Amino acid sequence: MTSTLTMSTALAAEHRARLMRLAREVSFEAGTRLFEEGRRADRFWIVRTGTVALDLHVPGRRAAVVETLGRGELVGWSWHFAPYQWQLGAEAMSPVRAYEFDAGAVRALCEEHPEFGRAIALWVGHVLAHRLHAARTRLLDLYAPYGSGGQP
Amino acid sequence: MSSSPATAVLDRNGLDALVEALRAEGRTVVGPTVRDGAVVLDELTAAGQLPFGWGSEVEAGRYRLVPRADGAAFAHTAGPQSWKAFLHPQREKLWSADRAADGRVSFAAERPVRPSYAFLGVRPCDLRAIAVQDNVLTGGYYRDDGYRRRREGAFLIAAECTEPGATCFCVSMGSGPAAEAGFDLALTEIVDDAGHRFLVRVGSAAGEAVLSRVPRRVADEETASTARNAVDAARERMGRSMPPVDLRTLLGGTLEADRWDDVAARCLTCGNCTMVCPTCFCTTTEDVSDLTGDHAERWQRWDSCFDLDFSYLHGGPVRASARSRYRQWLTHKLSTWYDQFGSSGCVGCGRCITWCPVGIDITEEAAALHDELADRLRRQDAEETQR
Amino acid sequence: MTGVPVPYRVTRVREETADTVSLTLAPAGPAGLARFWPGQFAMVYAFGVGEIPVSVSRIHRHQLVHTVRSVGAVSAALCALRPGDRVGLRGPFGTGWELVRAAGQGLAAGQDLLVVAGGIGLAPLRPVVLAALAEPRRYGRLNLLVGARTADDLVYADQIRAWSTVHGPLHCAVTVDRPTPAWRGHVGVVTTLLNSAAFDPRHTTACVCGPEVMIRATARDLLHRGLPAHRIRVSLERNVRCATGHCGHCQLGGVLLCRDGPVVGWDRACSLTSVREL
Repeated sequence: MTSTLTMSTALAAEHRARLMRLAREVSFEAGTRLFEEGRRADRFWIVRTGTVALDLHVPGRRAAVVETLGRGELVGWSWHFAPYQWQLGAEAMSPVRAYEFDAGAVRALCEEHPEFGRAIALWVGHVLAHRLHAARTRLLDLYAPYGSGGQP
Repeated sequence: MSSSPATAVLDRNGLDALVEALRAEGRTVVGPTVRDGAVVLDELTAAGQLPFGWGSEVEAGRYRLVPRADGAAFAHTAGPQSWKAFLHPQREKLWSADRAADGRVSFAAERPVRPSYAFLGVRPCDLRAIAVQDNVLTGGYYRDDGYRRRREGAFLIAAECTEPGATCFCVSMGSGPAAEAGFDLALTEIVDDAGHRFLVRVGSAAGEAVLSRVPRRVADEETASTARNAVDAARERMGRSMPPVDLRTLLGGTLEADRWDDVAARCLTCGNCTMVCPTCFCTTTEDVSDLTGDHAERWQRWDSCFDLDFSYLHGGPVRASARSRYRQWLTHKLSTWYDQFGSSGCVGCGRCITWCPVGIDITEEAAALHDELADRLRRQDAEETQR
Repeated sequence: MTGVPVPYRVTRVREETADTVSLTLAPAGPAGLARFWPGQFAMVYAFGVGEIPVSVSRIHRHQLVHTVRSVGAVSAALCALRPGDRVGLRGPFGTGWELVRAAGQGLAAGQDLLVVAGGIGLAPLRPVVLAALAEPRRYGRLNLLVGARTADDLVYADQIRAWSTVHGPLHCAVTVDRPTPAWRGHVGVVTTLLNSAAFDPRHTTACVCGPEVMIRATARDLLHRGLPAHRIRVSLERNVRCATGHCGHCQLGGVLLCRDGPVVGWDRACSLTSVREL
């Protein structure tokens, strides 16, 4: 199963190989917090198996899950843009195996190799565009009784 | 006008006898007659009720009766009605349902007495329109039983067209002015020094049987050729024409044209065009129940794609703008009708032009779409060559 | 024949969600309607109120299940029915999913099957899942991907739970737009579930039903992954009144949806759903 959003198809072989040289195989127990809102975004992950939930802290409530990410998906993009600070929190919903990347090292590599940097930026941009579209679609509340009609 | 082996000539007395013969068979004879300042279709008890001595002057958004010195009966153009008012009536009961005290429900189909119509004076364009509706309502997997029964019992007497109006364009649509097929009898009216008479051609065994009971004489060559010439001359005197292009492709490729905004600014979305169109077949249903709540009926009535409710989906209408509703009407008539039923839905009768309160002209709209498309293609070509 | 309803008796009413019920209907007299195929619909008449098109959500011999959401006068009347009440039924109408033809044509090995449902759109797709599970050997890998508003809005929740937990031939995944505190599953649009589904895009038939926006998004994604357009089967919705192709209401361009649909290939549906107010 492929999609242009997954790193393996979004990046050309040469860029992929360069990125994967920085990959570290990690695994998380269900319930592990990967990162917290407001903290420094110094890493990112690509999910191999399992599901990661992105959440927002709401006072008086359990963390509200806004989206879940599964196989092949990029977890975290704040590492790519200053001020490199997480906008959301992330938690493993199930046992998760993933590739982990050091954000500083990847950014440095991007600086060093503009072609590679451009490819990474395009990939992250593409993922962002897709998630923005999905979020907008969900704003329409399409499954509500009149969701497909546009009113009332 | 195609030649037919069995041709005869009727005079005015012969026409009287024809109506009498049809009525003697138990048929309800329906034909054009003058009422309320227009030629309307109604039951005729005698041929004398035909609009002898009346013609019509039409233009976009305009219709006037004008007296004719020659006394011709079939020299008028299409009036506001068409034969669909009889074959596919405005309102029709489909079935009734009853609920018993124990809650059981039963349904009964409406089976009215099969009418036996004789339509006298069907224009070739309207003959084509009947064939188009036959195909829509009885040509598919499911048949409209009510229509089928009325249609099977109908006897059609065509009247070839020798006096086309200013809004007529049947030649463009290939449906007139000659009657080619689909009739039981076809008349061609001639008024000249040799008298007022009707050339009759036979189109079916039923037509032949009726004709045999009517005083007539064998057609002479002069009457036959006069009739042929009159119809041929009518071919050259069409008031309007469609652009000579493949209309199906044109309308299929101009869904996003600017012209739709132009016509939408004029269109009142009144639906007159759909009511007078002899092929428009759309209907809706009404469910009614009596005061006990235990007897309910389903009625069918004409509907129009210009009505907002027509495209209603829970939440709202799909075609909310006037632009989209006019576009639906015109593209359906000239293009998607082919996809759905294998032919054009337009027969060139010109009624929609005549009876549009703001004079929107289907031929002018088609031509404007063609011009816009041609213009767009020219500009695209120019850009291509520049590159 | 198909113009006059046939009386059916409500034998069972099951509340699926707060506004949706499934009615099991059996012929009230000796004769019922002809056999329905998955994806086809019936015109269901609520006595004295009116008639609406409803797809079959289960076909069990002479019994039919219709899942109805209360959104208008007729559907509200149908949702208020109790066992023993009577309705009128006309049908079967429409093209159906044509699974056998779509999946069996020229491919001995059978196609992977991808069923993608949004909201109440799962109703016409349930017979597809049941038919595939009844004869899994006919197909390759089976996938059911469901998007719902919340977990409480999910129809056939028990059945989905059973399909999700048993490691049978069916890969079943659900995602919601708005997670309730108790929800531990996926959150996001239904297309995000495609990454974890098991199918070979070159040998897959997809059946998609839901709001039109969801259908378009799903079809675009599948095209991008390499499914041929004609193997993406979508079920569209328009105003169906007569269901016999005579009333003109369900026109969508050159398509009469009651006759040529509701299920059409994306090769046809793409242009039809891309023109506004068509």
